Amino acid sequence: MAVSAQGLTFTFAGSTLTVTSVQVSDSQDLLDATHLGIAPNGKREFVGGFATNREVQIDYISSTILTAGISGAMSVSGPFAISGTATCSAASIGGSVGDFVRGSATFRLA
Amino acid sequence: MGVTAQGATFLYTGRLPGPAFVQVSFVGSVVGLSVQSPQAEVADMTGVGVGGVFRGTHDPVGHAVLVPTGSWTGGSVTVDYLKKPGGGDPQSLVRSYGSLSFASPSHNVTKTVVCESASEEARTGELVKGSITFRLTDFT
Repeated sequence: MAVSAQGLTFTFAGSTLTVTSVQVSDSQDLLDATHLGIAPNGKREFVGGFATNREVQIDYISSTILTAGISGAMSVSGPFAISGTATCSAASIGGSVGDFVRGSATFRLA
Repeated sequence: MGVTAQGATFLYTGRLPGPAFVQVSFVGSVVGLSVQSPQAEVADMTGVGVGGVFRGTHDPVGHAVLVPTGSWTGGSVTVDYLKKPGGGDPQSLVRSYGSLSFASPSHNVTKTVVCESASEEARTGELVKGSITFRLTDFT
């Protein structure tokens, strides 16, 4: 059953941000082990390689300026929950006429 | 239309030189195989009477006379592979001799060979892979 994203909260380094979007991504390298023994039209074989730490990307409404390189405790709670020590890998903030001050940031969980 | 080698089976079983029968065999996932056919052995029978080009003159150029002896030399099979669990040191195959066969839906190769050399490498982010070279032979 579909789950609403409403009620989702985000905190980083002790500060709670008013988020409008949270995106969590995982990735894993796969090494191609396909060989000649596989029949025509057969499927490729893969062996797990390096895993990449989980990435969290947020959009928020706040005048808080996040600094890339800063590490701290991160927590997402509500419809889904993740937590851990994270490092901010990218951050931006800006404002436009008739709009709130908006920011975005990307974190890499340890 | 081209042909594929997918679905192939590769087998090498040999023995080490010497009076004792020590059998060795290849273990690995073959990802490439190339066969270099033997080269015909020829004897140069070009006579001294064949014309040549000398400075200041334009003598007719003769043709070399190459006679096949009926023998062949060289000929090799190179196998590239991914190391499989349980695959031992490929160096243990070197100097062994025996039968090599490669059977695919499109073609088959069966040769008597001597394992001439083997190499293996491991690199970050890659599977362990190796290469073995076999020399074709009539020795049994």
